[in-house]
Amino acid sequence: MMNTLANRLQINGQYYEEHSSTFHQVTVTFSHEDDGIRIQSPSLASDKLYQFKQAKTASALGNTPREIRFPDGFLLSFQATQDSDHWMKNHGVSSIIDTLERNARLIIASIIIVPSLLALFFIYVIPAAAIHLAPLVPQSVVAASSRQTLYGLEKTILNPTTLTESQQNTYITNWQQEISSILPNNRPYHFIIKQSEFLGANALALPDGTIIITDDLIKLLQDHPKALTSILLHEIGHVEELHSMRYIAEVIATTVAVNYLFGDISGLLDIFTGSAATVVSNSFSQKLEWEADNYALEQLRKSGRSTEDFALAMELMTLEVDEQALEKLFSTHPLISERVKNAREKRSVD
Amino acid sequence: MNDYTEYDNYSVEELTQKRSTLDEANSSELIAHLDLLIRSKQADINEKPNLQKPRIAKVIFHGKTSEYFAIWIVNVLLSILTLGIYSAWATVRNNRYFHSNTEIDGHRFRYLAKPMQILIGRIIAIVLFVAFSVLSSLNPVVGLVLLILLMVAAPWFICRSIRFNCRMITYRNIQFNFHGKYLKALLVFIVYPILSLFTLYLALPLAFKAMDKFLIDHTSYGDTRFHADIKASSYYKAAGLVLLASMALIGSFVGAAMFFTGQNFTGLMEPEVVGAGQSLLGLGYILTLVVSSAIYTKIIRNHLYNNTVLSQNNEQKVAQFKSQVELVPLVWIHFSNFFVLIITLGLALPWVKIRSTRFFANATEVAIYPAADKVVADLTKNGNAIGEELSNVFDMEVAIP
Repeated sequence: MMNTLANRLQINGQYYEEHSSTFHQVTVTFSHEDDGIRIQSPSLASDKLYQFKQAKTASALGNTPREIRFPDGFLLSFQATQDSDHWMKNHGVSSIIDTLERNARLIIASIIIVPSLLALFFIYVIPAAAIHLAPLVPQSVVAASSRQTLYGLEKTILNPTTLTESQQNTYITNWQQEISSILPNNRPYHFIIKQSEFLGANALALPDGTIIITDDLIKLLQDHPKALTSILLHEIGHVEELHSMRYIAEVIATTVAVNYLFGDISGLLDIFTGSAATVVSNSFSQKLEWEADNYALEQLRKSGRSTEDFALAMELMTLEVDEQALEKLFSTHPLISERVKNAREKRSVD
Repeated sequence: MNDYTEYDNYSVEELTQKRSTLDEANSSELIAHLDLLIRSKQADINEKPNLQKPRIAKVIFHGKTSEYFAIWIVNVLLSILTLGIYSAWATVRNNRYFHSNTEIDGHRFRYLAKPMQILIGRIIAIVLFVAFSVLSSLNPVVGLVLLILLMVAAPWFICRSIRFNCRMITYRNIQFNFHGKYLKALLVFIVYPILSLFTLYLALPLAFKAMDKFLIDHTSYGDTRFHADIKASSYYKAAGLVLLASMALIGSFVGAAMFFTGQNFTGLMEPEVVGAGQSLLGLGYILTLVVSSAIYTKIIRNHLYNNTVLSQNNEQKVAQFKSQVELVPLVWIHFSNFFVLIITLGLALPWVKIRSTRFFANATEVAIYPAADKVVADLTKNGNAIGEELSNVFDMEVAIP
């Protein structure tokens, strides 16, 4: 029969053979004199003896069973007790990470620190990194990228304009004169007029300085050429502040970060990580829109024009935008009413 | 002398279980009796293995929300502070937590991966992902070429990654493994789904069936193999019900949104009304996703488990599986998970993971045959030391984010 001394550390466990599913329900005795481990079971021909320093242990993790792998490939698994943890600690096995995971103060602090760090990271670190990275993209890459994007847009949402060649030339010459009078030191911008059902009354800028204006926008602001100029200034703001490259950098960084923080989740919860990433990238997009707005407003004021031009353009666009398009604006663009308000406030500063 | 006859009808496992609960000092007599019984019963089994009926084991998940929350939040903190490098260590601890807390028939699973293997795989994945994103946003044509390259390489990554994940899991000190090869994977994951486009998606359920069968039939446990005897009819049933339920739900939510906003979406509306209509549509969208994915999971998971056998040389059964996931509880779990995650800004993720894992564990049973005690490791593939080294170098989890 087994010897049961009161001061001996004994534990029940499961003992698995190497390369086979055979196992033994065993009694494990941890020696108090040295680092010996004795394994006994009625199903074992004889007791097995090991030195703990020759064995490999997996670090403690929550309340999961402790595992010790012996040099002969056998594996011992047992439910740890305070005594067994104490014994293993005395024999040089302890885990810093396990200690941290049990530290109540650290856990409570983490509940506050983690969301704060994440907010800091998404609001300051990623945008700041993007601002520094964007100028590093070579001009040739920017030009090639713009050409490809324009080609893609022409194949999908942009149609040829309904204006005649001479009408187009009149508009474009006009805009070029307007812009060079406001921004005399800037490079020339390349204006294109297109018809687009998808975009409606809108304008968009490509990173190489190409600015696309839709027929609908020209029609909408027919009687307000200065309002149209302010929209062009907004698009030029996107170009000058390298918004395309910054946006790409920000979205990539966000996707990687969200995936690895909330990673390891599969299936339906992907919707959650997906929407989290979308919310963050939309906030970047809105921030860039504000920057472009303020760029336009600043140029208007510097050149002695009125910021009311921009406010008027925005107001006229609200009238034109139907509800479906409004949904889209909700996501990537700030509310128009706020943008109008901002334009009027910038005037009073003047 | 005590009467121990009540133990005569116990199985070997029940006896060993009972014995392990006894205190050596107080019950030495009973222990001696049990040991005797265990030995004689074991001898019986060894003589006539096919006479034994399977024992039914429930899958038991021991994970606790409070304990896992502490582990998770500390690991997230360390991942942020190390700018993501620690996330590989965090992944190992997360995976270990879920495997070591899953018990079948008195034995836990183990997760063996080393953080370094995960970290290398992760760095490769990030480099590929960033390169792909940057190049395709700068130049759509290059992006398209890369996408095609990725599609050609994907089966290789998929096989490598599944193989890695299988080999990192052990049960009773025996490793799982995956034997899927590139060409078959290319067929199943890329070619079939593309071909189904030409049938107006009518053949898509067949493609899903082929994927599942490929994954199960190429998975092994020691020297035993999984075998799935699954039917296309279940996949068509799942697809049909998903389609019906989605149409019904989308229809009723769009109808409700129109009714409550009292508008037909053409005229100008007050922002509040638009907001209410949009929230109703958003709710409908989420509910539709939840219900259709739950219908699919219920039908397909149950079908897969109930028709999968683990056997030796396709003759001697080692284990058989049973899954009884029910629809309404599953819809509730997913739906409530989603909203709790939003309300807690993701902090409830540990709670969500623990309760989902427990839900699926509770719905699963395994019938274990006596041959399960005689599974041996499959050493034929890894007999060569250089081969083993090489496969370790390339063993990594490449998970494209």
